[in-house]
Amino acid sequence: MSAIRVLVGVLGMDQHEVGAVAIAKTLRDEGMEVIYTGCFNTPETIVRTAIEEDADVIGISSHSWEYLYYMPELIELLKHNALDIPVVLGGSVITEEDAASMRAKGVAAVFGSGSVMANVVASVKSLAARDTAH
Amino acid sequence: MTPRIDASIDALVAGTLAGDLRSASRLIRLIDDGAPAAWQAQKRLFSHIGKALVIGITGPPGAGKSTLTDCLIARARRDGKSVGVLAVDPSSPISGGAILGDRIRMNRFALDDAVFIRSLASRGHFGGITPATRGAIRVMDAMGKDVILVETVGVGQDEVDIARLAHTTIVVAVPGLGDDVQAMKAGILEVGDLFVVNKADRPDADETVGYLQNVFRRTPAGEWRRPVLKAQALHHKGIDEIWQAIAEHAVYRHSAAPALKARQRANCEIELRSFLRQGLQQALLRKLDAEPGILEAVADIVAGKSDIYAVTDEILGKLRFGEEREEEARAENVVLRPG
Repeated sequence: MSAIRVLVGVLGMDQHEVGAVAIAKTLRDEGMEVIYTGCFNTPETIVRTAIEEDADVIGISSHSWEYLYYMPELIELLKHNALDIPVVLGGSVITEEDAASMRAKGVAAVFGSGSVMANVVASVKSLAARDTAH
Repeated sequence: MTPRIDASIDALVAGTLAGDLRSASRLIRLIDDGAPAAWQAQKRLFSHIGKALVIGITGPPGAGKSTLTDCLIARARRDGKSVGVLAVDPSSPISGGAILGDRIRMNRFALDDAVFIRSLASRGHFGGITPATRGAIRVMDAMGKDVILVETVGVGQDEVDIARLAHTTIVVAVPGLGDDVQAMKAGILEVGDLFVVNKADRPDADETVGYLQNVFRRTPAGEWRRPVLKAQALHHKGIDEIWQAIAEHAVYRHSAAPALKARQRANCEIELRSFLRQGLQQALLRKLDAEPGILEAVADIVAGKSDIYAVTDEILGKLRFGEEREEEARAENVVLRPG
């Protein structure tokens, strides 16, 4: 028996946890194992936790501007550690423009305001499948 | 979905033995997923284990197991010990998914290189831990962790598997949870080596402590008398006393060698039988999965052309289990119609 393992957390001083909890529950209901790290994570703690938990995908929920600062750092740190773990970013504050810049910097998928939950789920599933043998 | 194995099993084993976090983490995943490669790896690790002190932390949901685990990590680190943590949370019986959130309470060790925290989902297993827990303990042991803390799912009464894996099992209770009848229930009270009444700043804490002490009062001389300790894990209170009791239990375990040997033998027998059962089950299920005609049989049953009992007998007969079943049935008939 096996399951997709997804790390879900919020970065920096952002205390808006409702979105992270909602996506964690949705992914759980889709049969995934969600390692939930709550608020106040840094790129360092996210990377270390992803290693310890053998996460297939990292999901970051953001409802503050801080992601503009932390996400590139997270992507760089993953690269620096030679970790090929796709990162998905979701949150109400992400503009089309910033989403494009995030993608350009290496974020695998970005979901802004008004995104459909089913699309987030499908994205996580396909990114996890990319890394699996069966 | 078992991840692609980038590294060879050789590399994972060598990495784990050298204390490499990524190798150990991937190996635990393979064990958890029941990957055939994991079996080979564990075989090779087996001669390198047995050095770690394994402490189980169990108790009802909300008792403060994760917070106490956090305190015990801190206490072990103060002694310069490296620590492995296995935190088990329940899988949803509906979706199979899980939210694994115990490690939030241990966040202050997120970047401590001597601490490795791993969450496990119960994956349909009852008993407070998972079938992979023992394997995960062995991986952490082999990578050189001095102390391994295993936090179970919040348990009720008879989920006591942890006691078979841990050297010392801590049962965390909270004031007001158990009246006299609750406390007399078998299971969790029998497997605890030491009891912690957490949230002891609550007014009825002494009552709970007194009750538990009363349960263990008539411990025969020479046997381990289970201590009942008060703690406030959230405020880091009572932790030194728990650490001391763990040390005293270790002294007892070493002095009680014959009793320990018997327990070890019993545990080994259970594990060996469970491995054999698993192997047998997998082999049989593979045979069953390869059996054609199940869907046609279902259609026939639903259409009223055949009955489900006859179809079961027929398929098992094809798999060559029919005879045993008939013999069983005959044996039952003999019993049913004596003379």
